[in-house]
Amino acid sequence: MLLSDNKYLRTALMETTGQVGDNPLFAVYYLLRFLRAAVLLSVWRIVFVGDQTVSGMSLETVLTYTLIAEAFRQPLECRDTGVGTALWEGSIATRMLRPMGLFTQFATEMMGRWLFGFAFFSTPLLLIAPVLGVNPLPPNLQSALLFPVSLVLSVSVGLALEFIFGAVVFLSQSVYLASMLRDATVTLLSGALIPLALLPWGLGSVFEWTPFASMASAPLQIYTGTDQALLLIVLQATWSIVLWPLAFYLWTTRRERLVTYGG
Amino acid sequence: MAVKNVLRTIGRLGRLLLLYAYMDLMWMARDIRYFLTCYISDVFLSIAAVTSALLLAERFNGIGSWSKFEVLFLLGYVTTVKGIAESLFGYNILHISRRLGRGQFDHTLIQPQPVWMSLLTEGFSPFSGSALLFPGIALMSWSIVSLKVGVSSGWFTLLLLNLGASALVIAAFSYIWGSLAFWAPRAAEELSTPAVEMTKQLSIAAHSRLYQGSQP
Repeated sequence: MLLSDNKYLRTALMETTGQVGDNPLFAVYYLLRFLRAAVLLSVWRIVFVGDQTVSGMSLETVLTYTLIAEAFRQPLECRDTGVGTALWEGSIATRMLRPMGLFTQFATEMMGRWLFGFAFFSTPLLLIAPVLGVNPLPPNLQSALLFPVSLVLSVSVGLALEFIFGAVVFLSQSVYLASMLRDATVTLLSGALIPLALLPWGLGSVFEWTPFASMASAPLQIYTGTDQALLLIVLQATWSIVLWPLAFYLWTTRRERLVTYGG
Repeated sequence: MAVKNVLRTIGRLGRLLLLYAYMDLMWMARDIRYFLTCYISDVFLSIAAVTSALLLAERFNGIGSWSKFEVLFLLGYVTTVKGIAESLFGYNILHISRRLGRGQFDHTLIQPQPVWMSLLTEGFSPFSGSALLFPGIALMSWSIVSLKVGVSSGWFTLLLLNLGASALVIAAFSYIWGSLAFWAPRAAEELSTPAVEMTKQLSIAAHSRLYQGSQP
């Protein structure tokens, strides 16, 4: 079978090209993302005074951490599945009729969107990093090799959580509630915005055991050269093993409660 | 004659504001469970949004030249501004690109009154839009007490003017960007959202002058 005939690849590519076709103003969104990255980097330069090192993190490490968090923001957040929109507008009903698994549809579409973001935002951001005064490279070969492994596990955990929060809609009948809850918890607990090690009162050492930390904090710590890489990967794999059966269980048992109108 | 027209317009604005406030109350009372779900979600998210910066300020005993409680004041200010904007321009009046993109602006155009009057009154939602006001006011009050700010009637008036002006700037910025939805309805439908978020974050800089003005 030709690669171009692969249904998963075709679905992903439809989403990738659809970004341009549906959205001629895509450049504005990416411009705002560049602005956000620049603001975050400047905030850290203000927060860190001189050669200060806090909780083992120097300014240089924090800048690299923030740059990689922004460059890989879409995979680390896993918010591009479109589950919420499908439930909101009712198109989930027609999706159930398609000759492809529901989870697979959402996952392939999400990866298609990432491909576009990676080409138009992540790659340029990484290329101009030296101009911004940030070293985009990992400190050693081990970090470079383990980061992709951790990123894949991070996506796995993030996707499982996305579907679990999606199942909350079945229970609460409120897409808004599920979305707000997810955004609030991920912002605070994932470590994507602020490295968990920099939180006060030792909160970071508690948060790092949560599945949200496995989404962003773990791969970012590994990229910036933590000495606990293997422990973090084991933790990510454990959360992945725990969360996926729960996601399948919730969607299998609760889908009968779903009522849609529209689509 | 002109004065009479102005008075009539003001009277109509007042009646419309009362009407929309009543409708907002009715929306809230229609399904109290759904209302509370949305309201609590908004409060939860607003607290989570400021918590990150607050924790950072606590860890570093401030951010840059700003002390911990000065940062707290700025976070309270920006949350209150968002609450005011949501209360005055609710129901997607603030996020105008959504109304344009979805074709809902046509409903406004066919009403037998000026468009500006509809936009000024339709979004008035003192009940459902107030979710961010209370956390914002609480954060500001906490910081004002801790900073021992010399609150006078003049300072308080300036604060209110600043809050109102910031809310208007956010709305104006949203309308400038949101107008793109006239040309690209589908593509620019959500453009007001990042525009509002970005301006909200930048608006705190303007307020710093007010606080500094109260220092000896």
